[in-house]
Amino acid sequence: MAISKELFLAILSLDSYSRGYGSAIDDGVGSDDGLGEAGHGVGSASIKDVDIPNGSKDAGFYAVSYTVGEGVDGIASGTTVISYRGTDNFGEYYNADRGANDILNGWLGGSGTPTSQTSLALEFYQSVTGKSVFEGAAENTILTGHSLGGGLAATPRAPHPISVRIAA
Amino acid sequence: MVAALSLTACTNSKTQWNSKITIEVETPNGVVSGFSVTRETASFTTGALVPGEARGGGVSRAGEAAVVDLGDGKYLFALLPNPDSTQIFFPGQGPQDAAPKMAGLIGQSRQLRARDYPKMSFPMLVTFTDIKNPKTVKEVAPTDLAATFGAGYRLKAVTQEITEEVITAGDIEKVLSWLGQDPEPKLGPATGGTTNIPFYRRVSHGQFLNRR
Repeated sequence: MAISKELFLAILSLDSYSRGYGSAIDDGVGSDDGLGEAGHGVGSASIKDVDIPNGSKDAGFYAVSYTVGEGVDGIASGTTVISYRGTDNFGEYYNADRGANDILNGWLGGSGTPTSQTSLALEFYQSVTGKSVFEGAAENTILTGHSLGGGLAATPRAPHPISVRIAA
Repeated sequence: MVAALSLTACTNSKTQWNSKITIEVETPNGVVSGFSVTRETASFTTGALVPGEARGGGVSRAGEAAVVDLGDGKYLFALLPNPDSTQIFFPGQGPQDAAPKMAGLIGQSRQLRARDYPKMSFPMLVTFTDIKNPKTVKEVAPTDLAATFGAGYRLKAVTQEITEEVITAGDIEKVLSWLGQDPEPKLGPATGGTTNIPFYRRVSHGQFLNRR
């Protein structure tokens, strides 16, 4: 049975909280990889082996990218999805696992003020797609995110406002 | 101003302790060991304006991985973050309940503040075929060191101890001269693919050294 595009993107939005540094869930295998990193997957989506930018943890930034396979209504097989993590450090200036404070480094972006996380969102987008946001929207690419992650997902699309999924 | 208001409507509680992990290995030349002392911080955030995804908390660890010099250019590393001490001392209890009890172990007798790691909770162990080349990192099975290092090598014990010793620093960098300042980089370049991911892409610099 196929899953809807909206539900699948919402799941991937939440998945970014559970991978990489500061992951909310640990699969108990290996170390600090949450539910597994590149090569693993969620449903028909497989995680791409792409670096997050240096300085991400010091900015409280995290994102993950996937290649989607068959079985998702409204998403063609082979589509790339980038999922941006939302707020996971609200109260501390810095947390050894979850990195820097998201209010200071992310939320302020909502006022239109460039933050370290918005810069890193653009940098990660370029690493995944091989394309600058100023070169036009990358083809077959969907950006998604929950909460603050939704705001970050909108950032690379600002010059070309098309497909962005924000999970409330 | 919004940020300032948000921060005031937020409560953050913190409990800290230092813990020492010690790895003992039997080798053909006798028992050798290595250790590191790291700082664990249990932190919990609540508050009316705290979004649901940011409530709660957990235990984080800052410091360096433990390394054992096995001789002949062979090293064994126990990567960060090791399972936090609350899981070792108070299994089955949530970190929020266990954290105050952890702080209560500081200054107690060693019998009370030291535990063997359960085999299911061992930290990830790795070594390098060539210590100067990060891409040669290999995972080591805790139950079969001989498969990696040869006959006569066996993991004797992994212990966790709540301690008043200071955090160790610089030991890991003496062994791994290529270790960088940033925690994010993996031990080799990204492939961009989704299959056949080499093991060096599953290990990051931050698993050897979490500076903050």
